[in-house]
Amino acid sequence: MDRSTALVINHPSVIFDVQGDEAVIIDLTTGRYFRLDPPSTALWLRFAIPSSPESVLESCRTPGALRPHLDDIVADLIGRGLLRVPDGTESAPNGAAPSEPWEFRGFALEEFTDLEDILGLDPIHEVDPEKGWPHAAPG
Amino acid sequence: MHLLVESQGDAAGRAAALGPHLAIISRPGLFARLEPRLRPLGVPIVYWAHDLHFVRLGLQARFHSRLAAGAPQAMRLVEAQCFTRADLAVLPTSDETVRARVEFPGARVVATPYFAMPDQPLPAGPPVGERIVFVGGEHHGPNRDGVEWFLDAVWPGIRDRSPQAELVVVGRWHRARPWPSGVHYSGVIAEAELDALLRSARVGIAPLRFGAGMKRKTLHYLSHGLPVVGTGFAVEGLETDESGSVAGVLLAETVREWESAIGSLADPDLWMRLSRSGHHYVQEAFSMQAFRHGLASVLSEANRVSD
Repeated sequence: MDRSTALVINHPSVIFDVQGDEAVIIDLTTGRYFRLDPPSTALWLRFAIPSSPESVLESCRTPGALRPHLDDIVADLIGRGLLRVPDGTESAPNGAAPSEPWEFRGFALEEFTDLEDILGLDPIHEVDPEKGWPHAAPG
Repeated sequence: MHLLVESQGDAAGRAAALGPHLAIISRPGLFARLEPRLRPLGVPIVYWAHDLHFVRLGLQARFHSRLAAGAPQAMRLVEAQCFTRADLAVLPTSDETVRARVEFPGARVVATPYFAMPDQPLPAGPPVGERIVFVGGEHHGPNRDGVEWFLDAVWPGIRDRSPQAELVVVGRWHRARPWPSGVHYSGVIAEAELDALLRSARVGIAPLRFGAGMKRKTLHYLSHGLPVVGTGFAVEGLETDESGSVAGVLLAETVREWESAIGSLADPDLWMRLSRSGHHYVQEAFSMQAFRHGLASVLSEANRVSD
């Protein structure tokens, strides 16, 4: 992808929260969630508002360290459905969009799948559109 | 009232086509996915919460290391979105309602009974035999953990004392699982068959070591006049008397307490007392009338807060 193309966090399918300086990201369409350590969170937050990879690079105090990795990181985030091209409906989730320069110290996305059952379709009772909920399935 | 199921596709589009006056969404993942797409309709949106999942996951993490440490935090993030974006959120227990208001400031949360249990006849006396019943599938973490713990820790002692004792497990489990001697797996059975099974049993068990919210299985047992042995998690949200007891239930946490409680139900007088009190409690508190009254209050409140 062209480094000048703006990208943004894939809200509302993707939500995130930062506690301390670590982010938890949840993809509501898959039920997968991700943890980011502080250095990774610093990069992630750059996309809380529409930002091109080029602008992310420009805001980085250590562009030489980031440049060789940036395309792979962005491609991975897009591939996982966590970033997308803006469609004009974006607002900054959590109001968390830092503007000050930052330092690239690596990026690692830790993925978890143990909430897929809960965040996916009804995990406990089966719903029948005709009979309603709850009802016992026939033996 | 129309019921839409997400798995049938385009739930938001189908909901919009109905021109609803109000939307009720159950389950946190579904709410978080659907609410932004229904909001433009301009109708009140209610989050019908099953329980506080992040609380349950936090408790579950104590017993199962395979659950990632971040799971409760991630779940709380989703639930924060549900509770704070809903015009009104509903929970089945007062305790959880208070907790939700504290956890998610600004959320409008009310409690109402979720379950309307069908009228069932009161048993004339204890059944013949020593049948124990568990109702629930293994896909629900507390059920799987509870039954596995019961079979490992409690069941051998029960069988040592009463070789005739049998346990019937009802619900969706892996049939190939190695069930111990005396344990029968029924699979999912029809309502009438389940009613007959509960009437033939001496005790219904709910060995839940973690969980959140009101447990339908406990109410289901009690509605049949079937005494219950269960943990504190099995009776969450149910009314307690001054001594902390719940009508129709013997509380048990330790292995010794479980063995003692189940053994004590061989006493026909105790069995009948528990049977009557549990049956009466469910008939009063979880009738269809009580459910309708609660639902009407929720609908009225949802319309009021969205004005």
